[in-house]
Amino acid sequence: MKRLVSLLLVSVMLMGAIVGCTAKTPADDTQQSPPPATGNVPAESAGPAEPAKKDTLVVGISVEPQTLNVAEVGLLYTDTVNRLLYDTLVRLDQDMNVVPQLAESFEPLSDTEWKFVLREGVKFSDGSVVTSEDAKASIELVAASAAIGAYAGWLKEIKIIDERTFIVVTKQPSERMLADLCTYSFIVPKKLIDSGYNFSEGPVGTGPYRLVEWKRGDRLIFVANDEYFLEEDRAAIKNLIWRIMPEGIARTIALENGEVDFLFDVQASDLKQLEANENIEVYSTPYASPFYIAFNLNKPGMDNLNVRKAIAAAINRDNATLLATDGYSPTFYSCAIPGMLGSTNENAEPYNVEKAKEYIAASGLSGDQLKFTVICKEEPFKIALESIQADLLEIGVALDVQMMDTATYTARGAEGSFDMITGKYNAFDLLAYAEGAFKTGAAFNFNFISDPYIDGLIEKGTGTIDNEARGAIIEELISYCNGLALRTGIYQLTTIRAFNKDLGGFTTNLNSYDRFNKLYWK
Amino acid sequence: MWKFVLKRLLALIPVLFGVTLLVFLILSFAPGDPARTILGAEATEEQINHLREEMGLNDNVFVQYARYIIKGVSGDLGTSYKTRLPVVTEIVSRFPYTLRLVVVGMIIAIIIALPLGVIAGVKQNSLFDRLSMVLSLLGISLPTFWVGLLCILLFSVTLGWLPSGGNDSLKDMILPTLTISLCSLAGIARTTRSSMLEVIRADYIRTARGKGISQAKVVIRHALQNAMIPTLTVAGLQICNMIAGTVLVENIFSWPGIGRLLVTSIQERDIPLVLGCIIVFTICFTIINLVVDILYGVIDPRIKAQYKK
Repeated sequence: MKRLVSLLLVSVMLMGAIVGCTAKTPADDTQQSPPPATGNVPAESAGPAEPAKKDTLVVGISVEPQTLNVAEVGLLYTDTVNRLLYDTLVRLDQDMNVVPQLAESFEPLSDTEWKFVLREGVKFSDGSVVTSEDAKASIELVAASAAIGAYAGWLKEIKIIDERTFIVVTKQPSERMLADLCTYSFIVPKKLIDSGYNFSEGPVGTGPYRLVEWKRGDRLIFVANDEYFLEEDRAAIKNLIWRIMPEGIARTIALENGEVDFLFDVQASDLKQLEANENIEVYSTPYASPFYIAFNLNKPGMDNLNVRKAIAAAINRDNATLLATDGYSPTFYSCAIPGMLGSTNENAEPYNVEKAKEYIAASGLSGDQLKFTVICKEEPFKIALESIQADLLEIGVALDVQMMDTATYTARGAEGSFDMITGKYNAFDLLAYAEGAFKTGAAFNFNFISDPYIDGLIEKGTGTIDNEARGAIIEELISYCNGLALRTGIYQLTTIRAFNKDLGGFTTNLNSYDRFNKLYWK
Repeated sequence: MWKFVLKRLLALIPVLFGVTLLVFLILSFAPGDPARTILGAEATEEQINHLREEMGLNDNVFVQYARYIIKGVSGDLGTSYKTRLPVVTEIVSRFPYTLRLVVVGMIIAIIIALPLGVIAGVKQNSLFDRLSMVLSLLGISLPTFWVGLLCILLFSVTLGWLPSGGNDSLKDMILPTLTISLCSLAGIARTTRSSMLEVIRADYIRTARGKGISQAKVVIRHALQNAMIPTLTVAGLQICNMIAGTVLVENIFSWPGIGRLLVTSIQERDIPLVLGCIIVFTICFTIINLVVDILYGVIDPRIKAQYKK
């Protein structure tokens, strides 16, 4: 009897522990109740006279945003969430044109001065009105940020004219200023910046959505901002849930099952399966980011131009891309992606095995001198490298592929502990790309090259506002870098999204800025 | 008995020291700079060094560890490098999910494994015995990751009975708990069967049968209790395996527990968060082993008497 009672008590304790662990916290009770996990509202709750309407959109993503502080990181997932909560002064539309956002108008006063006028009466989510002081403080916050300060490196000062008008003064003529303001300068209240407020705990912005709850590791729950200042951009779908799902196949299955409605990350290996599903739409568009291989000029062998050209010429990019992305991504062989201002294939090495063998013969190296390592951190790149490995064997180059986590990759990249490195680098134009990739001391200068001619061209291009003249400078720069075989392109990354066919209104642009507020249920 | 429990709890302190020191050293010497990871690739060397100074990362590794321990003793396990939230907050928000998964998983495992093992042991070489042992062999052999994906494929995709992930309802728990309990279930069943086989042949069992006691009473009241010691040991180990297994299962089923937190914090070199997770795991393992030792005393009075000595 005693044993039975003990067993009963232990069972009750255990059940209590389980129930207790699922009990709501007080914070939950003060929050708006999370909407249902799927977009379906039971017909009975919609009333007998009206058809059921979907008021929720569930998005599956692989990586949780790091923070909701506006100037701490420059990662795609964080930016995409920030765009739901905050606004920039201007934004890039679908065709990559700069259009007004929080700013009602903007115009150049001179080569180094731009006047902005804010829209009247726009309020933050805490009820305070957006003023020039807030804009000034927000841009200066970006300029001071270690992570994304480069995106306001042109800033000299901001002059306040009145509550809604201010002038941005740049250090020198800067064509990239507007694009940078589109990208990272989210406007938040000055008083919160000054107080060191942690926006991750409660974002205060003007965006089309407000954050209801952030369950770390699980999901972010948003609700539409019904008072969004741009009526035409008010969210059609009231509730938005971002579910964090690290496993690719689990995300795909969740979309097929209807547990999620939209996939932000689609695993390449699941694309054909999703395309075959008549209830799912797959959307793909090129993204302004190349998958490239860069050569470390400080390493023996890599300092030999003929070796670099040989490697570039030996790579069958079609095969590599077919394996890595199921053929979804366009290939290219220059050091810069095609289709952008100044892009050129001049002096670059297309696939030509015979020519590659000639380069190897001309290099004077053989055997162990042609053994190199390449480091990467992303699975698709590793898959592509396995194909490239086979290509290089044909010309006598042995490639050791080393896959590693982000922290190790970043450290080794900075130290130069590699012969070759794979990477991707998103930039709104090729000059910004070249500045990050080839300028002396630049963060992504994996060649560790210091070439005054390159630096000079970058400086010259940065100060050139005229598009045609700028394009000519960029073309010269890219052609020169191609000639030095500093890096070779493999394929252009693609923005791929998959979503329920009943969703309409999806738009994105070359920088992968999805506009979730434009989505609606058909 | 209480002295025994207190001694074991005090022994946790050197264990925690040893484990945290080892993990701290491994992470400190592993490639990857937390400051660079936080600031990103665009940060200058000057900015990175400034942050390293701020975070104390340029100090001697043992000085860093001592600083961590001094703060840790007062309950401050530091701040996550990635989220800037207190480590305690992060862990407290995630731990209940893992606890739920493991407790329910263990209950399922024991409820299924014990009767399975007992019947298999009593009816040795029967069809039931052979079938259950083949199944338990499969359970031990199949990788957890693969089982989880297979469960999703079968129950979510093909049959459409259960969701593939999430934690909104009890239904969401079924697949993750089944996955995590399978290996433990198999191990407990096999161990229970083996101990039962040993005990069922004992003289006192024959005597009990000879006295006319029913088979059910002989098995449950006499045989099972004596067979429980090895089963209890294995059950304790399996709970520890389950906790370790959450690292895989939580990723597959998007379950926001400590296992997933540990994986992401290792990848990001978020040392305070890694240490926090390891401390939680160490405490859990120690408490589980302690509970198992206490239960030995409950089951076997001879062991209880030894504890009292």
